[in-house]
Amino acid sequence: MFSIFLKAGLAFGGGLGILAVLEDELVSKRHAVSRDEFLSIYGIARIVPSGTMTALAVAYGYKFGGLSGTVIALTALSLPVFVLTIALTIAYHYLRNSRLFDLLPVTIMPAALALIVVAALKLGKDVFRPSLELIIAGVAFSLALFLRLNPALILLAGGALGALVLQKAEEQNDTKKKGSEK
Amino acid sequence: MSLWKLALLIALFNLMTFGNGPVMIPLLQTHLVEGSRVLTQDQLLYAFTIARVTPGQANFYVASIGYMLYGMPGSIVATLAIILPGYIMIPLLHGFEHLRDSRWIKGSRMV
Repeated sequence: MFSIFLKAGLAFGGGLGILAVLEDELVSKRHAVSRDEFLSIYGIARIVPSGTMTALAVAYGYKFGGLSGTVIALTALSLPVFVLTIALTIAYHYLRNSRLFDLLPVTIMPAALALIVVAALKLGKDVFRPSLELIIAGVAFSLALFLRLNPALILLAGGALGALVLQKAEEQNDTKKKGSEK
Repeated sequence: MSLWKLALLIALFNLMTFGNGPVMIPLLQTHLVEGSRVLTQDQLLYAFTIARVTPGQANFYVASIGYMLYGMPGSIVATLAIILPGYIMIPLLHGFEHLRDSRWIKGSRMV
């Protein structure tokens, strides 16, 4: 268990890299879970409001080892990234006093911006089509950009509005279906 | 801002946002960079980038932020704050298994 998740924790590329390793180890090699079950658990993990991979580690840790299993899986998954991130953070403090630090704004900062934009585009992929969600997203974006409202408030409002709109749309679909059945 | 307030903030943002790490960036920026000014914009971007280029979960930049603000205890508390909401998974799994079993029961009755 520890070795599987340690291996997963060493995978590059964030969530999808980890997912690929887990699928390889648990489904293809060990046949510990069926492909259907793997996908179902991934689906549940995605709707959990927190890291999807964290949720997956909790799920499989619990499935195979109970509560202690979750601790083992989470530790193994998080150890590599934790150690490396802290090491690089310490490096930041040293860099600050050296001439290398002047290079940071032209090297790492554009990279960070690019990464954030890519992450945003990936998330928005499903929304970028003519739909009510896109309108909500556009309004939220301009509110954040021009009025400088607190993003937390925008998120909450957007979530509430989205839930209402989607529910209405579903009701309309239901009535349409009922109408066609008649 | 105390360490516990930071932990609470991260846990709260984590619970509020779907779609993993990047979504929390604007929230953290508003509260830590513009609000209480304990962190600079550069530090936030640096933390995000190193968590992204290292293997493993991308949302571990909070560990880096925790370290910048409070050293080792800060990073551990921040990490726990981002990991613990994952335990919501356990009741959900139970619910899922329950649902699946009941569907099987229904299916077998129909046969």
